Amino acid sequence: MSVVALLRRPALAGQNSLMIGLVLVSLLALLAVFGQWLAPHDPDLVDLGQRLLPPDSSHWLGTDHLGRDLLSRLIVGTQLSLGSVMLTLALVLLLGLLVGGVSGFLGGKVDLLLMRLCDMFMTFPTLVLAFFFVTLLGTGLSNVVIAIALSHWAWYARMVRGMVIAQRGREYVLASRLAGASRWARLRQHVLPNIAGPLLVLATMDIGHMMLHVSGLSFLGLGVTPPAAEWGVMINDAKEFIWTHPQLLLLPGLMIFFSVMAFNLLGDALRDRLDPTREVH
Amino acid sequence: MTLLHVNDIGHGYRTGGLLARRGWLQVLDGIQLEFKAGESVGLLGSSGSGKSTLARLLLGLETPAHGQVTFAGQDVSRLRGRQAHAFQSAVQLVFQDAPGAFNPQRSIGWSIAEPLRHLSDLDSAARDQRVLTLLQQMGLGEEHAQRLPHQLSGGQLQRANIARALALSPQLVVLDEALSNLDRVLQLQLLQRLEALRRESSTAFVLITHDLSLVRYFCQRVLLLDAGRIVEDRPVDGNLSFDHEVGKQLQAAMLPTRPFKPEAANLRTG
Amino acid sequence: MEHSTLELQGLRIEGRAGALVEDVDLQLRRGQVCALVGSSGSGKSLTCLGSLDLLPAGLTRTHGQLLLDGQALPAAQVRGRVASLVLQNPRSAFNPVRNMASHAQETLKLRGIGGTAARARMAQCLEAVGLVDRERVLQAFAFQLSGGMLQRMMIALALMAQTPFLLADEPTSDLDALSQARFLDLLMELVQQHGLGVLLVTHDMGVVARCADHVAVMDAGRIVERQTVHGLFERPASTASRTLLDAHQILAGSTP
Repeated sequence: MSVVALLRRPALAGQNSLMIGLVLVSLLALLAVFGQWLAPHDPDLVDLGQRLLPPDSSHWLGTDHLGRDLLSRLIVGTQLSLGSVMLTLALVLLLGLLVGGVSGFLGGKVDLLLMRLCDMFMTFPTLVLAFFFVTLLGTGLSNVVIAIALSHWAWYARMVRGMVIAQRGREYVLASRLAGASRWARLRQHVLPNIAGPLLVLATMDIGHMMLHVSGLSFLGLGVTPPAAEWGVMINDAKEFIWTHPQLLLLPGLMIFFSVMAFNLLGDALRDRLDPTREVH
Repeated sequence: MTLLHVNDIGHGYRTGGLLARRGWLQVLDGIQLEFKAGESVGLLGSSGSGKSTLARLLLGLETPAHGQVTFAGQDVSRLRGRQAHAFQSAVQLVFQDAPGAFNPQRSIGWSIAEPLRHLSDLDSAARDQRVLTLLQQMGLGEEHAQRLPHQLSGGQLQRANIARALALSPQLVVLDEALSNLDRVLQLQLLQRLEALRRESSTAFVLITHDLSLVRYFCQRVLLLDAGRIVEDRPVDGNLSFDHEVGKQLQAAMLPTRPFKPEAANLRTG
Repeated sequence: MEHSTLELQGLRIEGRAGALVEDVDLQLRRGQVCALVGSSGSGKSLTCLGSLDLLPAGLTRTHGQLLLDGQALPAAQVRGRVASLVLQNPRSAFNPVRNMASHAQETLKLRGIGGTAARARMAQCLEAVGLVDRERVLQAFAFQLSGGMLQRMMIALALMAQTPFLLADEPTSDLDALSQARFLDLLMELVQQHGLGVLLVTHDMGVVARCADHVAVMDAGRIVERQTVHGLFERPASTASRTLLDAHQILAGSTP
């Protein structure tokens, strides 16, 4: 069933994973969009007189080693951490759909060429490839996004190609061909809409993985750099305080954990719902 | 008038691959046929006889390894642009598996109108009207146009399938085991409608099937296909009886009209 | 003969929209074929599956019981021990990653037969159903066998399970004419030689004419007519059976 049809269905109640996943993801989205206004303090305000405070009435989660309010930094960090992942995903899907779609639908020499290109990118583990691109492009958030997109697109391209090939042989695509539809029309009207669902599920499940890469690269000092509020950076900053003030690492870590979990739940539930063999009464 | 020429068609597939020895599976061999306007021809054969492959070759969906299928003098597998459109407007195919022949995300009306969108000049309103006419012709109602494939039964879907094939009033319709999954009552209804269409518009039909009773009811001529070759070609008359072995087998395989067991035996055990 | 009758009483199946099958009684006897006939949507397949508690999700059997020689028996005990099942789509009944021998061993193990005795029984049953290329078939996976061969394999498994009764849900609908004829010949042979009691669900009056002793006609979830096969063909009483018979006879050629 189409993604649009899925979202229009009223019967979401009773689907626990989907509900929890959606609620958590919506919360995260809210934080990402309205973070600056929801944060009680300025996340970048350094106040060395207030450093490393435990939670109190003013700073609900305490302060970090530079006296910045932890809660505010976590909230605002959502924007960077989540936003960068979404951007990366969008790039990966775009590249994957383009290459995989064309390759799968046209077949022949085009397919051969594009798949060899994919092979080149797939030879290396994604993280290693990401490191490579960061080295090439330099650090900074936009480069991290590009680097991770470049290291992941090939896997999606292959997946999309597989799905497209499976769809291409379906009889309704053949019927469309007999009805005079051009190749482009068939790809656009029949093949792509029918792979959008499963692709969405896979992408949702992968968000967690990509989030870890973004935060991971930032943790290693290769992505977002301090003083930016991003969860990976926050963990990196707090390295030396691991035994004295573990909350400085645990809290951003928990944010990553919950985000990953939220998207995994969503992806899981979506996959169950979009399963074509599921009885719809 | 001959619509389709099948000139010495041979076709097969490469078998084997990475882990098995490469070979060649010959599916069709030396097929020489003509399909004329207004004629209903039966293509009879069991599974493995090559009939579905022949259907695909007739529509130009695949290029034969040997020989040609021609329409208006042109090879149907190599048609492009306007000529391809002319062919598609004249020759259509109905698939066996009705649910698979419809995009699960689009309404039935949308799918039936597809050939109209690509191959005709009708505007939106005219197309909608045509879809309704086609649905009515096949015994479906206005309400079915808005429904999705999974909301229709197998029989209704197959009727919609045929409606789509008839959208542009083609001259020849190939039914590739299109009635095989339907119950007898529906099979009869559809054949009656198609027969009416044949008489009114001179539409030619090629009924590909393994069921001799359908051929006997609907077709004027029957071609017997066995192991990729046409082994018999004869008109359908009163007591259809074949000379070829496979034809005789198919005849013997027909189910009886009346109960097989003698009545006395029944009473004894019943 | 032990286990001579299997009865289904008062079957009622409900889905979201209400009752799909209501008040259905059927009697099966050893050595006889009872045909359950009706058009698509009449509820005949559901009856067959529902009697063994094998309904798909969303449908429940709210009423009905099975009686073996008059003794009530839960469906779980009837399945595989008293009655075997042959389905319309044989491919779906086999595990795609296990070969035929593996399926056969599983069935025989439930009967307590293993080892060389199992091999011998497998050979016997495969021969009985006409699967002559024994070794190849046993080593094959479902995707390597044709629909007709898979249907025979299902019968072979039913023979291995040694169930006195067989429920067949449109077993030949997906087969071509020749495979159908061979399958029905096999079925009748087993009925006569082994005294198999069969419930044959079909929409095709030709199948009824070929195989049935008794016929129950279903329409809109209820049984609307019950007759011997001759009685039905000579004096059909319900609209449902008349419609089916008319279509059959026109297509079979006896009425132009």
